[in-house]
Amino acid sequence: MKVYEGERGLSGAVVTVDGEPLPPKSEVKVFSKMGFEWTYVGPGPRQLALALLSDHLGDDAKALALSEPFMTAVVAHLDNAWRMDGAEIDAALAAL
Amino acid sequence: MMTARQEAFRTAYRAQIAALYDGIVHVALIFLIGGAALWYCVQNIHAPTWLELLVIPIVVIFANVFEWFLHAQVMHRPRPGFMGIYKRHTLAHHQFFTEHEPFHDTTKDYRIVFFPPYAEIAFLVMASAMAYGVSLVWSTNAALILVASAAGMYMNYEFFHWCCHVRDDRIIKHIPFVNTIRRHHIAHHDTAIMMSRNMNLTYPFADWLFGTSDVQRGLLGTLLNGYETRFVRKDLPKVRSSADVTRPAVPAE
Repeated sequence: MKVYEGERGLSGAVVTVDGEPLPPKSEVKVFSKMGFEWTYVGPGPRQLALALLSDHLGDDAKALALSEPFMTAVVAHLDNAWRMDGAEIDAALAAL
Repeated sequence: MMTARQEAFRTAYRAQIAALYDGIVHVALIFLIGGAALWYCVQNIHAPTWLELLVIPIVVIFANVFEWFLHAQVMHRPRPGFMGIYKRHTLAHHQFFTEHEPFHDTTKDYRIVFFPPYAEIAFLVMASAMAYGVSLVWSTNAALILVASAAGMYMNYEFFHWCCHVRDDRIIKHIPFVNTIRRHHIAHHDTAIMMSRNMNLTYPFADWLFGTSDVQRGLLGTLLNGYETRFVRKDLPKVRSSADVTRPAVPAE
């Protein structure tokens, strides 16, 4: 099961999947040109929600449709440094 | 209590501070520049009218709202052209200082407490540009009072912010307004609310005005709240999925 991690630090707000940079999925939709962010509702968190769901679900259209509620329920509450696996994302989606 | 992550960040941040950096010189420069601007303006104000003196409260309120806006919309949001401010604040200041350990250890840490002096110069240039307009349409006195008030508010900001991050509060906790902003700002360093609440650094007027304070009180109660925690909102969010091992994270749903 994939592990997603994010951390704010001197090198930026970095998000990885299994240790590799998480693609922003700009080809699906550009919410933010400034990269990922979290712990609030806005363009950066919206891009992160799309990227996480797209990678996890493997379905860009479904990821785009769920990105707004997923951002509000999950991404807007992530800590400075956070860690989620696929099971946690599934559980969060089921609770939406 | 400091988490391992915060400790690691502090070590990494301190390692990249230039060896020649001197925190006392940094602070002295800020108050020298601000003090010189204030002194010059006051020296050149002659017999101000009551109407001209009204510029002082107007600048205080304007600076308060500006401080709130800059903090909420620039320092905590990645914006094109302003990434340096966001990185310095959200990605550095808020990793160095948390609500669990919000205090600096040595004067070297002033590097991440105080703004660089050029920020003060930029602020004074903006104030001077506005003052020039005021001098054209009104009076030189009003213009000088505007710049003097702006310089005073800038130094007020830096001093109050330092009061929030200094460890020893034996005196500070008894000083009205200072004790309020200290609790207010340390609460702001909680990741769960740092992007949305407690954006004032001097007097939480704009936070009260725009409903972004973490306390639910009237204006006077908010301004003079001190260390009181009885009025802290019960509906504040909590962080989830934390990778900060000592933090009591909300379990994933």
